[in-house]
Amino acid sequence: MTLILMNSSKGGVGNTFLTAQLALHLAGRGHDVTAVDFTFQDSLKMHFGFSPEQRVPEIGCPISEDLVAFGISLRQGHAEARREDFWLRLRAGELLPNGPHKLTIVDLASEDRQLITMLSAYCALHICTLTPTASTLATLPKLGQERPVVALDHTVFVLNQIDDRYRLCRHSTAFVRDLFGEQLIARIRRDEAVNEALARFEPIAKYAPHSATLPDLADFAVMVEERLGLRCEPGSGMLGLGDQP
Amino acid sequence: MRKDTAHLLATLSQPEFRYREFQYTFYVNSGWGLFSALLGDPRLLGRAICTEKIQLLGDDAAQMTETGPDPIEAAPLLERYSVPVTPPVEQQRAVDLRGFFTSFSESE
Repeated sequence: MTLILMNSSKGGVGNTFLTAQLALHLAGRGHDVTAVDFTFQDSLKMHFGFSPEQRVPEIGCPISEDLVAFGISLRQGHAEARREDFWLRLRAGELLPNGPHKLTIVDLASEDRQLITMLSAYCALHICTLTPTASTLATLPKLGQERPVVALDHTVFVLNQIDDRYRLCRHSTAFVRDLFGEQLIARIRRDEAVNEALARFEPIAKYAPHSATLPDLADFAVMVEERLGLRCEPGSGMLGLGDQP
Repeated sequence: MRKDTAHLLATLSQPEFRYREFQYTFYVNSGWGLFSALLGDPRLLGRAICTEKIQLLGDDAAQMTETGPDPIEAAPLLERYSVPVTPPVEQQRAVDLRGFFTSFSESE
């Protein structure tokens, strides 16, 4: 099982949206993906077309209770992560999907630092979502409590909601690009259609198939594949998992 | 690595300094104090590069970050809730990133 953590130093930056889109794009490229929502908001499901009242099965529930959309298995982990035996069960392999070809993408709330720290020990890739805003950039140092942010292991960044019409946005984008170099694996342009698609319980690809955000999201998924060593199996038309880092 | 940077690191005998090339420095001179503040935060880039920057900025900057307690912290507790405590003018100076990058240009 390959674990991908998605979180940010600040809430409201589109981390849940990118978690959903990464899951959709990787599933569309042939991977066996599970998306787990560890946030109290429980809104990841909306990006897969489910309404707020739709119940999502907890991690650890039998596979017969699976909620599947677009080939992705959806799970909720907020309550489970607060149970006393969470870590015992996680380490025992009872909670997250097992198997060498399983990809699990986890949406974590920015303030859930303890869970982020503990899960990061198990993850293959830790993706931090940023936006080119003063309030987000100001929280960046919070990620570097133990090591400088630019020296964090298997940690990469994605800059979301870029709108080049604004000067501070352009400067922030350049700053982040300079700061993180190859650690910045994707830049996603801002499009109000993302918000509108969510309000219609529709994927952005269906609601706005010509959105400028879509090719950026596709590039993001490809970069994640490269970072994880996922590779295309020639002739099969499917993607397979390479050696895990 | 640029020649001037390599020379600086050699002069400082600090080979473990982390080096990062900033290509688009226009944002530093655009009046956004946030970028300067972030570049001066050791949690972001590490303490080594901050030390390097302080060396380039000279003794004043080094004193600014290394001497004495914060005047606001040092003020009596009740004073903090009455008249605002204003640090001396010398200590209000922001880290001079413009000078930092200019020093690279001039050394070429």
